[in-house]
Amino acid sequence: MIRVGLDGVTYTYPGGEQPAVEAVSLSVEPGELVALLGPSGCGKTTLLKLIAGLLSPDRGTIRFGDREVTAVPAERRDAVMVFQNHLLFPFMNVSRNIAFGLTMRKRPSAEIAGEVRRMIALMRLEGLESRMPSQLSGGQRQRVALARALVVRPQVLLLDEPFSSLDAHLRDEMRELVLSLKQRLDVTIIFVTHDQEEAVLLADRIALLFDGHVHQAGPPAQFYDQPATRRVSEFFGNRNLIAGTLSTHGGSTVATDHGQFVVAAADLPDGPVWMSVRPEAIRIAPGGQAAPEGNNRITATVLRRVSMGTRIRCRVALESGVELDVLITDLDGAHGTGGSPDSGLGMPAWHEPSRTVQLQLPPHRIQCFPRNESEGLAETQVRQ
Amino acid sequence: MTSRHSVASARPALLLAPALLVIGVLFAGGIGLALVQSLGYLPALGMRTVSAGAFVTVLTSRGFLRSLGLTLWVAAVSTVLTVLFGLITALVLRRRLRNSRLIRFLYQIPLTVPHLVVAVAAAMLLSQSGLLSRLLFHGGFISAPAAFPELVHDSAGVSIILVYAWKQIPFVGLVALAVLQSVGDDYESVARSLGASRLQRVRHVLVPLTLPAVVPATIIVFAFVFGAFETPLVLGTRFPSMLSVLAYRLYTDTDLTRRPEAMALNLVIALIALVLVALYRVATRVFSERRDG
Amino acid sequence: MGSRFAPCDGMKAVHTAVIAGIVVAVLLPAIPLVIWSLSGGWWFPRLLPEQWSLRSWRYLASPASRVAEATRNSVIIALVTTAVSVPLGVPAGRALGLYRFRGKRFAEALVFAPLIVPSLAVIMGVQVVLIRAGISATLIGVVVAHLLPALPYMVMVMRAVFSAYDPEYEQQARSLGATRWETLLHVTAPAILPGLVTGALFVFLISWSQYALTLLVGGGRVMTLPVLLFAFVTAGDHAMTGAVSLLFLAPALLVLGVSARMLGGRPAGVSGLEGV
Repeated sequence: MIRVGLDGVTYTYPGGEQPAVEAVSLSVEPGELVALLGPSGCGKTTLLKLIAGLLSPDRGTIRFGDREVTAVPAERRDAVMVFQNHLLFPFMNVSRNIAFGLTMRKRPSAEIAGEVRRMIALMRLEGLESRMPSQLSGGQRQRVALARALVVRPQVLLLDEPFSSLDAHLRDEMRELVLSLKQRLDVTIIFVTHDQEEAVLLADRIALLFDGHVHQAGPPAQFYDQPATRRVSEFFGNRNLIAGTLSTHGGSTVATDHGQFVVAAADLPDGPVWMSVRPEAIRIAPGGQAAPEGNNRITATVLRRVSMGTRIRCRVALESGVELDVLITDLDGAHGTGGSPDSGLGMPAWHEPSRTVQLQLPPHRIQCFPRNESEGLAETQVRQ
Repeated sequence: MTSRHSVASARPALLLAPALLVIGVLFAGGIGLALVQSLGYLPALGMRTVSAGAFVTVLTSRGFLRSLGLTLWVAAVSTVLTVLFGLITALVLRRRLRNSRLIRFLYQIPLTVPHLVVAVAAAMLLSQSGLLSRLLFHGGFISAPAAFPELVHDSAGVSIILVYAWKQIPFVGLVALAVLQSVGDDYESVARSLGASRLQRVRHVLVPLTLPAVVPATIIVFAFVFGAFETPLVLGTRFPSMLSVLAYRLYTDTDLTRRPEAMALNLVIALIALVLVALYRVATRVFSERRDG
Repeated sequence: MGSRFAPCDGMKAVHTAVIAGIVVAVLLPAIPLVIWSLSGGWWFPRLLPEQWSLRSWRYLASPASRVAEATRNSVIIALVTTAVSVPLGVPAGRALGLYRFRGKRFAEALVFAPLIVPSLAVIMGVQVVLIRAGISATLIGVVVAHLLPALPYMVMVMRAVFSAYDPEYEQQARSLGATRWETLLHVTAPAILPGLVTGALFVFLISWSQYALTLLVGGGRVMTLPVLLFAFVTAGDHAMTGAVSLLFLAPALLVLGVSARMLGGRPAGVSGLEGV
């Protein structure tokens, strides 16, 4: 286990105009499992290769513990990278693939055999020792790839979208495996993913990258509760935005086309802001009824809705035309089917399309992001 | 892709028939006729007695054995050189060819230059009064043409070996390059990440990756040298000569009764080549099975 | 990819040496050919001729030489060989590249074997029939012989082209209302054309470069460029040998240049021999 520290790491691909990774500083504690998250092309895999030593940064330093490794070539770093599509050597059987790193280190063959057996057992690969990679299933291949990386007992394990090529159920299995490995082995794990759900499930901390920059780093919950920017919020599935103007005189409020909204103290100067509420934070009630207690009420019209099994997602429009997503998770309570007659879809009639509903935006769940004067409702409409 | 798996054989048969007919008549016909003639049945020459005598004569003659030895030697050495330098150049060029059209063009030139021209140029370069000999003379390394080693018309076939290596290095090189460029850098990155040094990556990763393509190519290379004709005609000795040249000499011998011997020799050549064909097909199958499971 | 595997200094030196070696090795054989073709006399140990002369090039162009006849024959034979190989080779390549059928392995072996078994050994057997048919020592006879190495090559090239081709484009075109002929013209042809043209160029080159079969079947009476070249070699006329060699060589470079352009930089000439 070792701490990995990046400081001001910048890398531009030869011939590239923009840096793929720019001024990235990040610290991964010993034994921590950190996800590098971001859309494709954000530089997360580049960052992983920089840590692995497969690329060397133009500027900045990389440290493993107290040792600076910026100039240490990949083959002599204590970091092993596992690639997206397993990349097992097609001409070697499972045992020889796993043994590869030890063979390269010219370890005695008895020792290699023992270590390979240990990994085979750890990864539940018994009986597959002499299979060729082409004779393995996708999940087995990925387990062999993990075994091949772990057999050299790296201080740092780097995983590049390790499960993205697997079926959904195999992916869950592999995630469990990684979590159990993390508990059993003393290894710092950094993995790359574009899937925010996967990052949240696995990581102790997430570093979210856009355009080669870390936009936010912290524990998963923070990305839902306190997204640093509108972009972070949107990446985590929140497209609900209402334009307004923040005023902090006598409590924080945002003036919008839909009236005044009380918000929790925002760390922003007064002025134009985006007001954002996660779909699952919005409370919804039948129109015309007594509104739910509290402030921040708006009337909206249901545009469409879709049952997602345990949840219902409604798309509603405010009077100004702004559209919001509302996620109804409490299907048995006041918002769900409970009490109301079925409309035939297992969903209550009161939030059928074109019905009027009451929304309430809880103040402590409203986030505010700075907004340019020029941005406004029109832009929101286009975006949606 | 339903049609890819179609078993209805009428359509493919129709498409194949004209080409297969021509190839079949020429190839099978040629071999069949060679067999008939090798058994001594040449009515046009008034020879009608059927016997295997020509085979015995050919296979036991000193000329044949020496020719076979020379042919195998030349083919083997030239194949080894070709594969060695094909791999080396491929490894060096794999990142270079993407960028340089000129290098790419230069590298492929030997593929298209006729053997006869290469052989002629080799004679002009490598003979005892050739350009290299002259350069060595001016460098003070030799004092007379005779001091330059005999590389042309020599019994070891050195210049023939070099001509075929020159012609075929890019063939093996391009086959290896195609593999290296299609697998990309990732296998090498993995190996690096697992601690493999540069030479270890070449030996344990890159070369094994190219083998499924390079091994069959090696067999083709060997077979091409094995059938060499015009190059040894220009650069070889009269005795021993390479097998194709020997067969042609027997065929054009003023003594027409040697025709069956020429045909017997052709069949021996064809048989060895067919063994190489079989080897080739086994090699490709073994590698593709290993790859596909 | 740039610094990812930036060679260290030692490796860089090796790389530079190998590339320099390639350039020298490829160009070296051309040097004596060019110098000899321009020489009036060039004795050991001189590095350059005592006398420069355009004799061989003048003779090449003069009506007295047989160069015109040899070139014409070479072109005719190569063109006819190509003209026969392409229409036979394309459908056969399609069958082998696209379909699975019984006897496919045998068909492939039959097409592949002539590429490996020396044509000379096979055609020597056929020669007796060519003589009987009265086409030995004629252009037709030579073309027939050239088909043995050329046609299988064309089939193999087209097999490679078609195995990288998706016939569902044709089905899509038909379902969009194209007739069989329109589909062939607008869908199939454009897709296979680069491979087809490259294959045809190399078939031309195979015939053009062919010496052994022409010598055997032509019996010295069908004069082609390689036959003429060999005559000068035997006569020991280095100047003429150099000049005719360069003339003989020119189409090879031309074909390489054109095919490189057709294939957008992918290597040409080996495609037919992969994965049989």
